[in-house]
Amino acid sequence: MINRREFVIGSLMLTGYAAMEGSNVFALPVNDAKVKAVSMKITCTMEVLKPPRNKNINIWTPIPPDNSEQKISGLSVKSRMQYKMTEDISHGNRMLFFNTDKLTAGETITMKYTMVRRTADVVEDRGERPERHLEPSEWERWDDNIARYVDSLVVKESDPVRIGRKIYDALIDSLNYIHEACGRGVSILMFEEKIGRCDEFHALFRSMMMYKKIPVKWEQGIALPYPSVIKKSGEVEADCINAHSWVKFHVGDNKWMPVDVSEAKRRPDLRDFYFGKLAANRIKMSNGRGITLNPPQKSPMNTFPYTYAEADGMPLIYGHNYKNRMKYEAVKIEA
Amino acid sequence: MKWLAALILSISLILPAYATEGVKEGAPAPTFVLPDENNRNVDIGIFMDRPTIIYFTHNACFYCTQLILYLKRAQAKFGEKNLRIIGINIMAKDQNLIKAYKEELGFIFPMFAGNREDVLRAYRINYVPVIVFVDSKKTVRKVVGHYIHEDELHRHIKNIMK
Repeated sequence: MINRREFVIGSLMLTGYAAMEGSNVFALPVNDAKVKAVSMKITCTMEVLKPPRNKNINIWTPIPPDNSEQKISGLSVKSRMQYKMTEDISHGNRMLFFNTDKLTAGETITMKYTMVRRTADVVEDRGERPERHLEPSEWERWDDNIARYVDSLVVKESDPVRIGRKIYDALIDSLNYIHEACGRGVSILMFEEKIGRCDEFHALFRSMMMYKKIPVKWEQGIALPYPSVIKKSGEVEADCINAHSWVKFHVGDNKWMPVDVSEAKRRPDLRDFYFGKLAANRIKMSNGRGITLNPPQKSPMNTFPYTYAEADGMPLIYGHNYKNRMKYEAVKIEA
Repeated sequence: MKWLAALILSISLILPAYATEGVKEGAPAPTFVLPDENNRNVDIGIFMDRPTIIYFTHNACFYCTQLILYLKRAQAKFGEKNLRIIGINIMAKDQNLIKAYKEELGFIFPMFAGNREDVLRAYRINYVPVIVFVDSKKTVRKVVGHYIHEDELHRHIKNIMK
């Protein structure tokens, strides 16, 4: 004989089981390393909180690139302001540019699209000149200490994949990860302090690889929940905490291998996976560091993962003047 | 003996600890002459005549701006005579950004433009927020490199006031 409480719990469990059977992969266990792709609808909104008064305001919003790793379709933009689509000359990043002398509190710029984000693998890029990715940004210079360390680590190894793996393992074993901070991604400081987040991990990886004459590309985006824990819908803030970077290094024959050192640090179970693959828990927004937007911004820009704004050439204050929200609706997970 | 060789090799490949010239707890607080919002070049050392908090921030850090309220409340609680608070904006190269930041956020404390390699290296600023607690002898007592809750903030303030 079951009591009323057990009956209710049993009924709920049966209902839940029926829902799992009748729905899709979301309710089933998902192995992040085995997922092939995640499809989702994205709504990215920049909301004005406290607008600057009597100032000329420029706003740049990154447009996520459409490529073999992430298929972007149905892109639409909603804003009372007129805008133009532009592209930066050095990195090819596409963006929306808005100019206005009047913003009102509560007004928004909304970009919607559907994205199929694939698990990234080694990719061929014949349109790319690898040598241009041997140029460190102002934050990625290396010193004699870094050079000596890399020499002792790599010794006589010349294969870029084996060199990459040695550096990757050494960084994971030696560095500490911090999440609630906004990084500058300075290689020398990371080497000395041994604590940082994705930008610091990847700046140092990039410096060490470039020192060994291996070209490394910098990619920037926003981190989303892993397929194993993603809800059917949710929201992340597109800010410096949720911004995420990763890199790809040249392995020869115009082939580039992705690496995510900081996520490998955070997810030891994915350590081997992240040397050569990228989980489908991200949206790529831009390439490179030290970016000059189009039209050019007044202040230096380290990376470009989310909407940036200036008033009379002064950067607006994130969280005070404006905020970026990214809503997602997970449509399908291909395992 | 293979395991011993492997152990020695793996230890030798751990990133070495370097003696750096940067700020360390127990060491004198580095001082610099930096521009304020009126473009006056000011020696920040003159502000360290009492227990001092040096608050490193920049405009893209929402977590940092949330700390401003805590800093205001801390000074109200402990008194201006007992506690100095100064800000260093690591995005700012001159007065303009400082001025805009102070006006927009009601940042009532002195703030300086700290986007300079020597300043960032001396204080080891690779991310923000960073909060440096300095006692009245200008000695760094604590460096907090993350968002801080109010009770932790007050605990460190009490330590530099001892």
